[in-house]
Amino acid sequence: MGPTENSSAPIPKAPAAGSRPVSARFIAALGGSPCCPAVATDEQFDRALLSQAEVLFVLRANGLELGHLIGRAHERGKLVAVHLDLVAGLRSDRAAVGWLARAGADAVITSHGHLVAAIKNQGMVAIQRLLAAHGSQLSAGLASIARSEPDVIEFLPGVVLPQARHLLPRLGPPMLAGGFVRSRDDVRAILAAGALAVTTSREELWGMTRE
Amino acid sequence: MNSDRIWHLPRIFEASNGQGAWSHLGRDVGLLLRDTNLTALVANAGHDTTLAVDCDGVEGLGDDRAAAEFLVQRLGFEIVLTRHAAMATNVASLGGLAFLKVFALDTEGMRHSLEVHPRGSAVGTAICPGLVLPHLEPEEVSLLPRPILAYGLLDAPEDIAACLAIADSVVLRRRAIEGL
Repeated sequence: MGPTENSSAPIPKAPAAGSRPVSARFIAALGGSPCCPAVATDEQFDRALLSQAEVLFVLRANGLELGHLIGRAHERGKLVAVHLDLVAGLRSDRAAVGWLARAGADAVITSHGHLVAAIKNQGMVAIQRLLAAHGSQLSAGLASIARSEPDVIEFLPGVVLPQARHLLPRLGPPMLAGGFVRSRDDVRAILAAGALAVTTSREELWGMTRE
Repeated sequence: MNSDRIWHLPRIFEASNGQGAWSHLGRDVGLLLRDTNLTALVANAGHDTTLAVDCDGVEGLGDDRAAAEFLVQRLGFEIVLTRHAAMATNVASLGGLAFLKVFALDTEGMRHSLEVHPRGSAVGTAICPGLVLPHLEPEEVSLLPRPILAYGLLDAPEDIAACLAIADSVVLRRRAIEGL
C-alpha cells in the first residue's frame, strides 16, 4: 500500500499497557466474524472497510505510515492486525513493535516468537505464525509457541489444516488459518477442524458467518 | 555436463536421516536424506537406489559451489533439494538435478518464492508442503517448473494419491509408504 495522507502527522504517544483492546475483545471479534480480510493494497483495504468483517489483517503496507489506515478502521468499529514481518519499512524487532503500538494497531502478527512478550507488553494482541512447510518446521514452530505463549496462533497454509490437524497437539491459544483459502467449502472445513477464524484475500468470502 | 539429460525419477522417495540401517523398499522408491549430517551422507553414498539429499538439513554442509561439487561429483548425489536458487543452479551446472523448494504457505508467498526460481532445464520444484499441491489451481501448478516433487506433511493414502496425480514424485516417511 502506498503512503497515506498523514505522512507528516505527529507520532502518537505510546499507550499504557492494557489500555488497548485486550485479547478477549479481539478473540470475540474473530469468533463473531470468522472470515477476515487479508489485505495487500489500499484498494483492498477500502473494500475491507465496507465488509462485514470485524478484524482486518494488513499484510502489505508501508509500516511507517499506518496510523491513518488504522484510524479509518477504528472509526468503523473494526480492529486491525498488522503483519510485522511483511509490511515495508520496519524491521522485525522491539522498536518496530513499539512503533506499531503507537500507530494504533490492535494486534501484531509475526513468525518471531521472541517478540511475543514485547507485543503483549505494548497492550496489543500477539499472533504468532505457525508455518507448516514440512514436519521439522512444524515441530520447531510448535516448540517456539510453547515458549512464547502468543494470544493467537496463525496456521499456514490454512487450506491444509483439516488434513494436518492430527499433526498438531492440543493448543492453548485459539488458532487462525490463512493461505490458499478460496471457497466457502474451504472456510467451513477449516472452521470445522478447530480454527477460530480464517484470513483470506478472496473478497467474496470476507465477512462470511458461521453456518 | 548434460542439461538435456532425461531423468527417470521414482514415484516415491523415502525420507530418512540415513543414520540407521536402510532396506530397499522397491524399484520405484528412492531414498531422500534429510535432517542429517555430513558423516551420514558419506556413509550413504553409493546406495543401490536413486539417492537424493535435502542439503538445507545437513549439519555442517554449506550452500556454495564447493558444497554442490562435493555432493554431485564427490559423493554422487545427483538429486539435490535446496531453498537457495544459487545452489540449485550450481547443482544443475554440474550435471545434477536440483529441486528448488517453493514454499507454498499462501498465494503471495508462493509467488515470491517462484520469482527467484532459476527455471533451468535441470531445476525442478519441491513444493512445500506437498500436502498443499492438490489445493492449487491449475494455473498455479502450470507455473511450477517441472519435475515437481511434493515434499512435506504427506501421510494419508488419499492425500498421497492426489499428489501423485499432479507431481512427478512424492516424499514420504516409511510408515506412510507401508500404508499404501
